[in-house]
Amino acid sequence: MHNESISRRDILRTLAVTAAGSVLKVIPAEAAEYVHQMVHKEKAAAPAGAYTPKYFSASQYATLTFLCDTIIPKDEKSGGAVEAGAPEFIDLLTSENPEYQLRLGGGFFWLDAACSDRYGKVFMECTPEQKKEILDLIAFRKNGKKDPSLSQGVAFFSFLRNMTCDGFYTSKIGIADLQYMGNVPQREFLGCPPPPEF
Amino acid sequence: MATNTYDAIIVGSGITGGWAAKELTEKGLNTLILEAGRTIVPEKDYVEHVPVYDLKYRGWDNRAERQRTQPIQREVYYACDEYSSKFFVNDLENPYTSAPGKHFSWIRGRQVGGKSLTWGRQSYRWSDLDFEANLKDGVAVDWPIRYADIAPWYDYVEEFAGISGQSEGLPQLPDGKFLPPMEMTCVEQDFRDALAKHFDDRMMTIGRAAVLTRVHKGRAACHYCGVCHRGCITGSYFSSLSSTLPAAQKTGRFTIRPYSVVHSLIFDPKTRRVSGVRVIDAQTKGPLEFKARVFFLCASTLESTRILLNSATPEFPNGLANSSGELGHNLMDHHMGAGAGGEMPGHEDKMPFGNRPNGIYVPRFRNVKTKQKEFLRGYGYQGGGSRDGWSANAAKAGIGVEFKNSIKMPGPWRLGLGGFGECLPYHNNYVELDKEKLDAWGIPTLKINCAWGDNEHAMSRDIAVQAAEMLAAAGAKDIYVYQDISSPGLGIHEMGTARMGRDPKTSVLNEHNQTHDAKNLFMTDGACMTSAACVNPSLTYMALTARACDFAVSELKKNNL
Repeated sequence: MHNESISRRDILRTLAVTAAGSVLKVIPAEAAEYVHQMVHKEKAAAPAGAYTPKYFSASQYATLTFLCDTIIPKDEKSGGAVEAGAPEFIDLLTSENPEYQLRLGGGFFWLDAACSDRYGKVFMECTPEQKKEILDLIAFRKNGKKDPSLSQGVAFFSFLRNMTCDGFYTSKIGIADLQYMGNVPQREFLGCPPPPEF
Repeated sequence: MATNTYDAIIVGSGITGGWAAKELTEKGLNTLILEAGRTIVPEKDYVEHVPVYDLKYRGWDNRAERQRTQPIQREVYYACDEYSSKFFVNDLENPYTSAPGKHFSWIRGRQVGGKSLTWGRQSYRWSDLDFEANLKDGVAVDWPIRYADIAPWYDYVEEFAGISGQSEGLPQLPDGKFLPPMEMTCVEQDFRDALAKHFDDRMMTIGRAAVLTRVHKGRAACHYCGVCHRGCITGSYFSSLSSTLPAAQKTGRFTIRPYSVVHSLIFDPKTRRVSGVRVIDAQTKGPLEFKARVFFLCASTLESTRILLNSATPEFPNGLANSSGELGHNLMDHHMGAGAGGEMPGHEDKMPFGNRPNGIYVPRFRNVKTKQKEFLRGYGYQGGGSRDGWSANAAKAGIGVEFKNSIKMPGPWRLGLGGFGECLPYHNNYVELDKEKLDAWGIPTLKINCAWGDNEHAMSRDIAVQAAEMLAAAGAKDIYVYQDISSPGLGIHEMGTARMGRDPKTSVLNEHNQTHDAKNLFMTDGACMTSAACVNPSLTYMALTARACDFAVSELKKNNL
């Protein structure tokens, strides 16, 4: 047990170091999958099959889950980021990584402060219309350029969106959604075939 | 102490040891290979089709343990991973020392098949531009051979190994006996056409790879799973295990002994011949001796030289066959770490088929017809073109179902070029024996003193600039240029330290890879190289080995050994 926890911490720390700056380009799919697997094990061991957040408070974790679901929702073709385990994945990585703690923790704080200024209540207490309004503002970088008071929110959302994609596309659901085949034998090398139909 | 006698003993079972075994057994010699590492069982050890979720660490590896036991080997991050780290040595058992401030990355594979299991498979012929280079430039010593001497042996090894490639008629990159070439991606074709249109002096061809594009000598064609360094159960790329060792086995005159770490050679001053090999059994750590009439050192460049340095006698106090004093000197590798990449417009209606175990090649164009002021010799580029996937899209803006649908759409096509540059042979790049530091079997280790010179640094800058210019000429956008020269050794094309030459006073080996000092001793791995050229060297090692075996057997028959 002792060894396993050291090696897990080492893995998460190394992930964090290499991932700084450009999350998606440098986290190998295998690494992310490893984290998924650890989360899976923990869920299996917990009494009700529920994940206990390691870093975020209950209210922060609820916000995280809401945002992940909003970024990549379930649709008629596939499940969404929450079903793919993205909130657990993000919480686990953040628990081992001070930089993520600062960026995501600071982002949740900014979101609640911005909503208090605009609507007089924290994000999760806002109406669906208010939530949509503020998220639509920070989901596009050009809004941050027009209104500097939004720039911190835009940077936070961009970071969280990257991590949500990492969580989604390294899960079974996400990989299936890409129609990715992996290192399976082929009859011939096809050059440049047309893209798959999504 | 057990003593066993053979006609021939080969040290090492990698690319050159495998070839020596095939040639010597087929020519009638009762032959023993001494292999330091373990046996490989393809059915069990090859893992190219194992899905990532079947691995204990899901491909991410036990990184703390890897860093502890293979800190050097894992510099080859693309191959020494959770799947394939077993094909690389344990650095704790196999220590060496780099000179202060001059890190040398010594990458090794100790197992039956050696590094032929994990090699890059790129296979190019040298030309007289390379064989004449030292003489023309007044650098080091002249090669004792020319292209005409080795050309028939290139034919011979290519016909057996199976090299896929395209004939191009270039004097600096002679064509070979090729199997059909692999296909280029659409942006690679665009780039090839742009080079032809905008440059008189350069062109692009598909990589020439020791990967079968059709059934060849009983081996199956490649099935494009794309991860050759994890092994190949169909034997579709050339390795000792898939090709030469089975041929040797078929003769009935072949023995291979794994777990046999060669300590040193025994020199008989009366006959002036090598009479035997001292071996340490890797499992029992007990000493053994084997005797033969002819000996081939094929243990890899630095291991073969290390064995000779550790075989000193009163007559050869600085290492066996070292009357010239050149043994251990003139260490070379190819420098990497410079190149460029960019976005290639168009082809939105096509996708890359990503599992081709090969790339594209831009052959050398510097100092071919014209002369560069800044540096001698030249470089080639390896690279490829493919299309961005979800990870690049995920950095874009958006939210919700619309965002979800947009990220799985493929992004723009990109093309990248990375240079492999020639390194000059410098006497001051050398290895020496360290009798204080011993390996796990009590054998003295190496101190390696190797650094790039001004010529390599100047060339590296040109590699970056020219890559960017070619991409610009081909219409690439958002071009990024990089130049961070690799540490020597990381090219895994380490060469030299027992060079061939015409004069016994300035070289270790003659034109037949035979040591000047002991007629029955041959070295045919990378140690023999007199200069480095800029192309991948393994095909040349194969040809030199087959050629040296032919000579050795004819000399043996004439009782000259």
